[in-house]
Amino acid sequence: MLTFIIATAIKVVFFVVLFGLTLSAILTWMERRQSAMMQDRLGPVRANIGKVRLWGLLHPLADALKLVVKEDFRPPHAYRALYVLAPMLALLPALLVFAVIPFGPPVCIDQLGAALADVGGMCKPDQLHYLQIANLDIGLLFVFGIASLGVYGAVLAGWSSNNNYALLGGLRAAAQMLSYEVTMGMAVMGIFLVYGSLEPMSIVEQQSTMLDWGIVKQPLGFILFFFAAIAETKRAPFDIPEGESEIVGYFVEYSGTRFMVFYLGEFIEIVFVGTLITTLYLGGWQFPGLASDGFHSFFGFNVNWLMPHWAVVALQMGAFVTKVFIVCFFQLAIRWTLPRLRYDQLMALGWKGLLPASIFNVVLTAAVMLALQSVK
Amino acid sequence: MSFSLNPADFVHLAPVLFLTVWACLVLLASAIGGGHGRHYGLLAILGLILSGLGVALSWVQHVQPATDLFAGMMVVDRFALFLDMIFIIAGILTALVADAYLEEHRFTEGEFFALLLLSISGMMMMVHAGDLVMFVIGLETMSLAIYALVASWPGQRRSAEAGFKYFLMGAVASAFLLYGIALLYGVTGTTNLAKLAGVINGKAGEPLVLVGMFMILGAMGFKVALVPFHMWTPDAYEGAPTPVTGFMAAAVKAAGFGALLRLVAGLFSADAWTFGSTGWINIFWVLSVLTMTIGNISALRQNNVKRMLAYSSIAHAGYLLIGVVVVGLDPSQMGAVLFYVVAYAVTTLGAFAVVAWIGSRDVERTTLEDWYGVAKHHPAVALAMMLFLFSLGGLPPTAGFFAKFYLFKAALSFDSPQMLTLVLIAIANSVVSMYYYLRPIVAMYFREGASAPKPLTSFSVYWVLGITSALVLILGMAPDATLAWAAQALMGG
Amino acid sequence: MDLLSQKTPLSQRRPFISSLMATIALLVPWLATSVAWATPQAAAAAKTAPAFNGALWTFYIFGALTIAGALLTITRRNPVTAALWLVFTLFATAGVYLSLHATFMAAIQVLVYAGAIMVLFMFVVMMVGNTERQEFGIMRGLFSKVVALGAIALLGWRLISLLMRQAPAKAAMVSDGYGSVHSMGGVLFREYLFPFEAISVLLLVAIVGAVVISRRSTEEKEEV
Repeated sequence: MLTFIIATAIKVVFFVVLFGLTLSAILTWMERRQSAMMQDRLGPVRANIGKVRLWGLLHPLADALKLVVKEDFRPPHAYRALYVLAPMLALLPALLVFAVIPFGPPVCIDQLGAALADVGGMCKPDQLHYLQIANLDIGLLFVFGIASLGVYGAVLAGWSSNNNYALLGGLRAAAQMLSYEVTMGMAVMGIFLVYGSLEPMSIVEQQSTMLDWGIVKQPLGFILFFFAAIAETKRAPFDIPEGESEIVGYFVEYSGTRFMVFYLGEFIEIVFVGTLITTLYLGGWQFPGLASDGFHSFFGFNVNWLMPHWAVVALQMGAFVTKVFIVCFFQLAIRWTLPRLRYDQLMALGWKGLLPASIFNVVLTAAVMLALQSVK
Repeated sequence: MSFSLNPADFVHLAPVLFLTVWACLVLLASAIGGGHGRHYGLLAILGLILSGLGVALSWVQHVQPATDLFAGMMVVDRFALFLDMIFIIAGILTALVADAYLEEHRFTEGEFFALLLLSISGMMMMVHAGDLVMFVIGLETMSLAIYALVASWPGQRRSAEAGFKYFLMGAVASAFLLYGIALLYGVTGTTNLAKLAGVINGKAGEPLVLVGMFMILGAMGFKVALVPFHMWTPDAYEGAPTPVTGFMAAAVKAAGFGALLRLVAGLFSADAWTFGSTGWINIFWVLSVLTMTIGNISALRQNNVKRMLAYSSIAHAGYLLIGVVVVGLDPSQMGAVLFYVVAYAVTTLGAFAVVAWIGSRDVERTTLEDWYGVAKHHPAVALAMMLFLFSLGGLPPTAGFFAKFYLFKAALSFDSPQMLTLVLIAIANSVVSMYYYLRPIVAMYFREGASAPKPLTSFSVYWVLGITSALVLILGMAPDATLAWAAQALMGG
Repeated sequence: MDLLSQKTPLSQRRPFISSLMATIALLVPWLATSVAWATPQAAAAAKTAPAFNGALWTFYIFGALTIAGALLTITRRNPVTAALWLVFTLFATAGVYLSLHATFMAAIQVLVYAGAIMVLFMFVVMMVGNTERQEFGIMRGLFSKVVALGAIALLGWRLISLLMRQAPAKAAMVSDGYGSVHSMGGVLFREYLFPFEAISVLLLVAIVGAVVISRRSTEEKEEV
């Protein structure tokens, strides 16, 4: 029991705090730097501690410091309890969903130095650890269940601010998130069909070669899921609920730390979408061609490079982080590439375009699987 | 539990499945063809007729009941088939009236008929249910479709209000039903009616079963508008489009009583649940007296014919409850109560068809004053209406008379003072009810109208009036064939 | 349109007595049932039952939270807060499911009720706004309150007196994998295949019905 608690605590600290929060902090800087490069500006490069500048990487720290020490302003007649609760409700689900994402292969603690061909079989059960905070039977359902709660943050922020514009923003956000949640769920149904499991660990383990990746088996599903996920995180081109420059968003009355929580929550969601897409469609922690005891084939060449267990684990975790980073980068780049959709276009795309396509995807997947089964 | 999908199951349930698919076709046709004035009613009637042929074929070919369809979810027995036929006939007659009515009152037609068909398939699912889960699904399918139909009158606040009230009350009733089922499931671990009956019969006096039973029966009381649960009925009946009101009075009531009969005769039939201070018979006895008395007394004061017929339907639910008590005492007496259901359904459909016929756009003409002098301008319709009202009141030579006669005869066959009292109260009630049934007749025949009505001129309504009055007379003068069928319609038969 | 719903004045904020009454009305049967379980027969049955364990405690905690949430839901005057407490209640119910090994049900409970239906609830509540504010107080509708309380008390008393007569049935242990996605799927697509398909007819009816009712307003506009 104690080992379990300690192991879980280590996983939480590593994955959520060190990986999730840090990456999202970096992304806040990256977004601005990226836009600056695209628009031929310099962007945020000037935050420094003494002479250390790190290309502006200290900006997230400076921003956080600034927001924390700002005056804690609450609009008069705001519904106090909910006004305070809303940012937490927005942040909490975004953090909770990391619980079921596997960020590395199963690790055998006492045989880190040996080359293990079959980790599960060669390791003692009490030494075997899954690099996943909670291995739930319901897996992805947990993700969708918790993620669907994020909408309360937006709605309540809008309502409790006692501001009509904020309320409208909150309602827009709720409508959008509800609409795209349906597509997201339907799109991921294809993955469930193909891999026959709801458990992310099992899904990742089945994506051992690149031809087994979700993006290869479910190309349409991947595109739909990606669209819907961007809309869920309220990113451009679906950023009507926030729309910093033109439309008043639901958190217009928020400032200081509470605003920071909203802002951070959004970037954590980006990281989360990155991890989810990596897990479902890009092979998770699988390194192409890497088996659990080293490389047996390397880009088509037959090799036999045995590697110790720790190196394999490190490589695979590195693969996971890299993939997540690439997906996040891509999400940010979209913002500076595509113009924002109008509200009716957004709804039309969601209900008339993506949803039928995602249903079609489910039917198609099921039909193909049935055909393959009967061929066998 | 092993399971295999048996293709024969689909054949057994073909009428239900066909009707459901046909409803989707009607919906599709209206989506492609536009909503107004396209006579989707005829399409719906075609589907109903085909489904009805299936039911009839199933009845004729019937050798033994199929009780284990889809892992025991559905049951095909003559009891269910008989009720199916009532729903389908009521559906056809309603669709015929609605075809003209909807055009006059500017409804969107396609969805209306699709909902009508779906509600019928819900009713069929409900009476065919072999499992409480299926029972609830059927009931809800029926109810939701009816709520929508009640509220479907374009631009009528009263219709929306009626639908809303009905929906709210119905939702509460459904909640009670589900709580009751949950309790039963909690005690027995099954929702299959046959298994459930076996288990609870061995658990006499189990309090949770008792609570569950009364929750379920109370919920069904809501659906068929028994007296303490009848508050929604007048408003819902009055606000609804008239063909829908007729459909509710005929088919929904038949479905509700069918389900009630299935429950009391199939599930709570053991003596422990039937008799004694916690048995349902005593309570239904009281409810029956209350329902017919309060229904009739309230109807006395109504000047609005539609509302009066609504209260009359409550009173008739009271009479039908006598039938439920009778079946609870002796399940082989099913024929009498089913015959009453048929007679009442046909009569009330005819009566509401007249109410639907008399109104025109924006003028519903439902008060008694609106009916002054109808006989002078439209003698045939007035005659038909008189026939229906006589039948509702139970005068010979109409269907209503024989229905009451057989019902009371069945009730008196037990030779018990309670049943005698019940029948005497029912007869007294029938006498009282003649007063308000005669009022529209007086209005039509003996009063001068200020203005001549501009009724629907479509032949489909006249067809309905002709068919229903013929049926009322046939059932009144030659009831033998129908009685024989009704007597065959036993549960598990 | 008054989109904003102001807070209720402080003097009205605590519908103290009504919530107290509701609490008593709901807790009395609850407490009394537990008393009923403490009858000699029940005590004898309890001796053979397994000792108190963590799952049981979880069940009790989540059960208590569910009841507390439900009470708060029906006693809040502000519809948004009431809806939020309902969300809380549904969450606690999911916890109850979890403690009963019904993991799939728990996930679906959160996904469907808390995540989708209640959001729509909030949506409507916020759109409508609480323009009509009803006065609350012990004296309002006193008659119906008394009648309702009497009815509840009667029902509770009857239930208790019935339950007193017998001990609760012993709970059986659940089988391995009970309530998991796999077993739920197996049941849903085998024994419950027909209801599962029939539910889609029910949903179709609901959709068509909603469209029929709500489309009216746009057509009225066209006619005007």
